[in-house]
Amino acid sequence: MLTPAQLQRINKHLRTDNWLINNDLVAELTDHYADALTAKLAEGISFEVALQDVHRSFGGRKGLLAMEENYVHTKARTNGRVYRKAFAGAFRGVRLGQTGLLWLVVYALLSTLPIEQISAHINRAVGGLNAVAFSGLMVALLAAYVYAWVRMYRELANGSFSLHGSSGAVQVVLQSVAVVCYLTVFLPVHHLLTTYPLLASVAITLFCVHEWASIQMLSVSLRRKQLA
Amino acid sequence: MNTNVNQPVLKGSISVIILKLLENRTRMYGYEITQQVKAITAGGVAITEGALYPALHKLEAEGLLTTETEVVEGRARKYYALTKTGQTEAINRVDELVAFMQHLQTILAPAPPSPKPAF
Repeated sequence: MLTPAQLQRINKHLRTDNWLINNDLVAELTDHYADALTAKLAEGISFEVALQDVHRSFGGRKGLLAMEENYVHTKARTNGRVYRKAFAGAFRGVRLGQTGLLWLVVYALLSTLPIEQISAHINRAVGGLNAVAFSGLMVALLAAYVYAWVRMYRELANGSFSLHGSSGAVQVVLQSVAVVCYLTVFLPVHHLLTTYPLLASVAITLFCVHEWASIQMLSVSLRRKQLA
Repeated sequence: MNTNVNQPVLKGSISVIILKLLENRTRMYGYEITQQVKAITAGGVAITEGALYPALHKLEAEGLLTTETEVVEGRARKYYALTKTGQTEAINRVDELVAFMQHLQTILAPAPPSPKPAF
């Protein structure tokens, strides 16, 4: 087993001497270097000589930098694949029923709610608010949004995030509400909602599916299983 | 066997080797794969790290491998395992490579003496 100083030397070798910046790749390579160096030290080879041996097997600095570039590209492809799979999954099997139900609820709301009056009411209310009250409302909404995001991010980072848990769903709902509120207040979308409820309900449903797929992508990307 | 001679041939076969190894084991990490290949071939084939990791990352991007990170001796260790698609693809790719090697053997085998022309 390597000493903390030797592990620190590997870290310096990868980050400072060879300019690697991707934390995930550095962590993976550190583990490989540590195993390879432990085996070489057991053969009686000095640490620095062993380090150069392992370095050469990676193709030197050029090889390491090419590997990092390749890693970033493949990571982006992985994220894209997860997103596409999650998005397409919303239209297959049981998920198709859930997506259909979501669209039906949105369509029913758009068809029955007096959108014009609500929109006019919101605009009057916003217009009637003084600057301090309006700013307070915006800060409260922003705070709720940031709180939901931090909560979800913490779960993602420590590996406790579950797609069946509440934080992901809260995030989707808050983002959707924020976008709908924003559009309702600042743009005349109520014309679109009332004139084309079918089109608007499809757009809102697709937005929710997109949000859900993005969260799944983030979940896979940041997943850390601490099994030890 | 000279491993240097093998490198160009090996480069095209690394993904199949990885898939085959993972077919027999639940999960493996990078260093373990290189050592396993060395052990199986008694040192005859050595996968360079510069070729192994890009191949692993590519297979992950294709959805054939999944990963999980575990803390071992105070450092993060990334394990690779086959996905459901990867299990099917492992069988297909191994079959393809075996079929190709059989054709290659036919081509490389000493040709039988050709009949003399009649004239």
